[in-house]
Amino acid sequence: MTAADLRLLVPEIVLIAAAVTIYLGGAFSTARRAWSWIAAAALLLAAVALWSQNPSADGGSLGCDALARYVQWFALAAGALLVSLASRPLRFDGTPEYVGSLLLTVAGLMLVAAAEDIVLMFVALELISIPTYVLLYLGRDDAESQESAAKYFFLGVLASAILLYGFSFLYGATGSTAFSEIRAALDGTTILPPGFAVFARLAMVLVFAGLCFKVAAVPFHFYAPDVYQGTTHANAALLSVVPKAAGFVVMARILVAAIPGMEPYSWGVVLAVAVLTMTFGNVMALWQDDFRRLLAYSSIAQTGYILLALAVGLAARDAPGAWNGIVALWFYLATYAAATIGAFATMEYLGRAERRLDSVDDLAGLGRTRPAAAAVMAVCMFSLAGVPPLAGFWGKLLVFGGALSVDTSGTAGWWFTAAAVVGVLNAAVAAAYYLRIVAVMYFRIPLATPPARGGRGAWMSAVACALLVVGIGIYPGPLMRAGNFCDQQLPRVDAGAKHHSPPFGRQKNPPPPQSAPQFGMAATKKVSTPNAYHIRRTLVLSQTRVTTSCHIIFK
Amino acid sequence: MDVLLLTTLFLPLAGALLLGGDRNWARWGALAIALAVLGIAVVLVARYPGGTAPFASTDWPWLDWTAAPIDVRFSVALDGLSLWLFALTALLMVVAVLVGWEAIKEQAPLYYRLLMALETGMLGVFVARDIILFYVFFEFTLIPLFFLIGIWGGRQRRWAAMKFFLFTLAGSVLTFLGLLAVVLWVYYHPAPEAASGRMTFSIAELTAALGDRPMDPTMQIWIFLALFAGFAVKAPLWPLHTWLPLAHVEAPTAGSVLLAGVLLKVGVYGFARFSLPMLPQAAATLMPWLLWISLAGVIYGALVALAQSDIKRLIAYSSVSHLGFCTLGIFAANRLSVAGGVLQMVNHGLATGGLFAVVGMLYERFHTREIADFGGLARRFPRLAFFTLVLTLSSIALPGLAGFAGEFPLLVGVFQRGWAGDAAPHALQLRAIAVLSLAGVVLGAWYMLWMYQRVFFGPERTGDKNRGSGIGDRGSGYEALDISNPKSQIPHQQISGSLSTNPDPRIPNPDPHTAGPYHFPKGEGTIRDLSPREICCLTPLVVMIFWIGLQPGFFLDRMRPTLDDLIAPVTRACETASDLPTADRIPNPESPNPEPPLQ
Amino acid sequence: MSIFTEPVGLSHFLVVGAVLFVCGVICMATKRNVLGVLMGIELVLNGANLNFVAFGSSVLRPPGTEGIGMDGQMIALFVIVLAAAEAAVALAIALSYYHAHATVDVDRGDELRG
Repeated sequence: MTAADLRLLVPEIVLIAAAVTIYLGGAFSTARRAWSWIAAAALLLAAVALWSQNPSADGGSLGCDALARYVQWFALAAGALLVSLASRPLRFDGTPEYVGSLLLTVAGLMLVAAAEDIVLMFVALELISIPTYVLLYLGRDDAESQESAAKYFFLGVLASAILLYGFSFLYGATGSTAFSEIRAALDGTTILPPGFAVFARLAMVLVFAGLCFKVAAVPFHFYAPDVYQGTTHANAALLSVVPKAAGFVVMARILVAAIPGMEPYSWGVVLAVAVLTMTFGNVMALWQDDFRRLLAYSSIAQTGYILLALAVGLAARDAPGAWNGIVALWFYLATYAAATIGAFATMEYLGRAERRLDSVDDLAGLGRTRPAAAAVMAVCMFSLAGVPPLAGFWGKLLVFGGALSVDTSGTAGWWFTAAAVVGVLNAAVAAAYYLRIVAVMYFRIPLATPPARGGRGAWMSAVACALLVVGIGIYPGPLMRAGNFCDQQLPRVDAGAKHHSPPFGRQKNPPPPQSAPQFGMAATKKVSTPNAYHIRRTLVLSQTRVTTSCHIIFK
Repeated sequence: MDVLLLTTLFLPLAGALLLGGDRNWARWGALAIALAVLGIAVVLVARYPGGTAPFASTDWPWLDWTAAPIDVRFSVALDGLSLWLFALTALLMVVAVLVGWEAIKEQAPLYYRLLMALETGMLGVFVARDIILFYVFFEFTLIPLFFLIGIWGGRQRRWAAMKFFLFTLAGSVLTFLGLLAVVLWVYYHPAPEAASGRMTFSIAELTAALGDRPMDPTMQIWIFLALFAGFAVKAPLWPLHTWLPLAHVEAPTAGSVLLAGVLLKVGVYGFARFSLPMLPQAAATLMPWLLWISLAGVIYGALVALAQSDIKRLIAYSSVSHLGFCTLGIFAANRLSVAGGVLQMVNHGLATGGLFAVVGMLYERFHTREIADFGGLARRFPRLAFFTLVLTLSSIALPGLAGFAGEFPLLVGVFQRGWAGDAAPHALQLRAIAVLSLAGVVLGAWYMLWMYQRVFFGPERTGDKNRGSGIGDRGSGYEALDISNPKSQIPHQQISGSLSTNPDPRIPNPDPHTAGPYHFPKGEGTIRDLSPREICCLTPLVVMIFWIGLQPGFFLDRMRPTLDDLIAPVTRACETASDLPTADRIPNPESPNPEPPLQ
Repeated sequence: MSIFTEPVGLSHFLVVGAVLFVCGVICMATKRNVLGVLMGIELVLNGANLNFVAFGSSVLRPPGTEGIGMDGQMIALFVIVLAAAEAAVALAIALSYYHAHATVDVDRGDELRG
């Protein structure tokens, strides 16, 4: 392990060091508000470290391609918004543990983004999951909260185990833990031992099933409404962003990049799950009165759209430009995250420590009593509904445009066109419940003025999200371009091997192939065999976590 | 880049963001902006050179990527199709600001900001020259109107706002898919000589490309249906019109004026801009169906309007009927009928917009819209009666007024379509449609004149009936509506909240507004004829109605060249269609196998 | 030659791993006691572990692919550590669940529904 490799980890190390400091400091200090500032400083430091990294360094099992960069910046931004959102101290002991765990999940997401190796990826996923369990446990101290934490924990562990089981077959089939080698082993250049090819398929199914839990897709979605309802706004915001982002990164790394030749099997599964997920989420959300429960179903539905983008990416990776599903995936994820965090942050801001705003009806008349907060919430809701000119619209444009652009000479195209039609009708159904929130805020008489004592941090977070949503809506180009780089640098099947035939019948004159963009970093780097270095590093990470968990428990 | 046109788009947007202060500041500011935009619109119209070239165009890159071919542009321009609709929007916005001048008291700054946002959206729809930009404006208009209906609307305003938004959205998402499919089809079938790999979203380029290399007819039909879904809900065509009467009745006056005057046209505009020129074959194939649907709207709207007892509702259904005429003209795709259809859109905006304004004025005075509560108003309110008469007569297409100038060429065109080619397979149907559409004219005259007669003539039904009915019996909630009382415009939810414990907006509460004959709360002296403000509000409409009616050539000449260009592909498609035997009129040499149902 | 008669090889380990995994899932699904569910978690994780160890064993791999190093065993060690961490959190959650519900019966947590 060279110093250059270590430098790639500096942002994560900064975050974890800060988290440990906060854990330890919390045991000795009674300060309550300082921890959020330390966390914010750590995030800033990590951002500086990420900015100044030399991207051309060979990271071993750490990738530093555009996808990693994108998700790492995404993680830092989401982390900053979440820390700000949760900056009001808890009503009971545990504030430092809460803030520290938040930083750990951010570090985990950053590691997942960069992981180019099964082991590192699994450990990084657990680095997200375990602090999340702690966060759910710390958020509230009532029976509902304990129920919610227990549900999330047991299902989360089961999902991790399914994922791990899938990883074991991936490892077994290829004899390696590095994605580059798994890829090399599966793309036909190496001859697998007889009977081993089926392991790869099994692995794909199991990995996808495990990840469906992380992203809350049907049929592994059922925990989400209960868990969201039983926890705090800050935790719900975290749950709807961080594990989802991690899940989609792993899907992209494994389903799209690491298992070549599986696309004919995988897109069908992903498409079916996507359509079911969006339909189920949207229909169920229509009847909800609890705000977090409603947004839980909304986040399930939004997962459906993102999965549709993934299915497009699997079926037609070489579709031109923006209509590539992988681009749509990253773009959509960012817009969704901004709007969702904004909505939860507004709710957090409107409440106060002793009285959370839980029900949609609590928002009645907000347009008069708290016009600014109502405007922020309305912007987020319209964006989630996909109304132009807000950010969500562009996400939907990319997703549905991608679905329409899938090759229609085979059966795939018909399925994708049908999915696009179902998808847009779903968007119309979804508008019903998003608009209901807006209607309650603006069209009803105020019952009581919400206290709006959720803290300046929550308010800043909400405003920042609204500005992001509007800003991306007005000028989405840069974010789309970033998403495009993510796709360009993910390994793909050679252009010759898989010819993408265009939709709508014949192609008279093929457009020239798109040249890969000159992005300021080298192409994806590969490592040789997994060596002792990353194992040692992951061991250090897991020890940190064990220590912190024990610290919480024995405190 | 054209500063004037951009100013009309961004000035109201700036107003939407910046207007504030108290009610007076907001309304004067909004009026100033609306007048400025109207002034610029007049300048633009005066400068319009005619011809087919886009005028006052601005073309900026919007989503420019280095790595991907997607080329969405911020591209705006005026042409013959959009010119008059653009001017109409600017004019009606001044009317809309004026009609709510006194009536809007609650949250007035927000109201005017929403109006300004709506103006940007409506103008943008007509000037957009890029598909995505068009769709952005198309959808964006929903947001301000949603709030306008929902906050300042009538008793069922929440339900009306939701229904309006959801209906329109459900249709327009399919339109969205259709538009994307058009873009993708052109991208995947580039011209042989210019394979630039650029994915164009420019409406002009797409139309030209589809003119050179038409789509498969089956696919055209599917995409046509997708586009139809959104535009037909917006227009609205029968049987997708059910959101319209509710939205109209519940909307505040300005909302109704703009909804009828401008927003309904967006659907018809979409047909003329996209469906016909881009998918000519589908338009030709489906023509009898489209005309039958339009005709059904004409007749149905008229019959239902006959049965209405509420003036606003009557005018709302008359909109369904009139918009049916507009689409009849557009879908007949004949030079005359399309020109008449577009002009009819403008006329309908003037006449019906004005009528909604009049209804708003009546309601401000009497707090009722029931026809039965009125009678003999002409004697007491001669100015109101005069303006209403002109608007009504224009609406029923009296020669010399605007309505005739639009409806006459429209119907002539429809007849020409029916009798032009004897070999045309649907000639009989088309003739039947042409003849039946005349019934719509007759019915239109019937219900409008009947309404006018009942309200403005006959025995004066004013105080005598009222005094007998006993105002005091109605309880305190009713007293709150006293016109001279500044609280009379308190938001409706407070009224209904105080009168009723039923929270469901769909279940009608016993409403004092429509419960009985009107009354004079503070003696008859408080209710006056039109104020100068209201005259200012209606005069431009009446002037325009006379101008269009007396000099239609001025308006038609400016739109003709563009319209001829737009319908040329359909005309060609109809000609080729009529040459072929009926059974397989659609030549489909490119797809030997029958296509699966989608696409 | 059926799996019962052939000499012990990779497939036997995989079958045992699968049985462990399925037993663990069933255990998690049916046990009402929190601690019972925790045991299920251990079974599930160890089913996966067994796979890793078996796949990583140079003795069991098919000929020609033996030289793949010690990765499988390493991963198994990692998973054991992770399972310990998870168990620590799980016990904390179980404890507070007990405080809130005065029982460790997971079916009693049924307040969240909608």
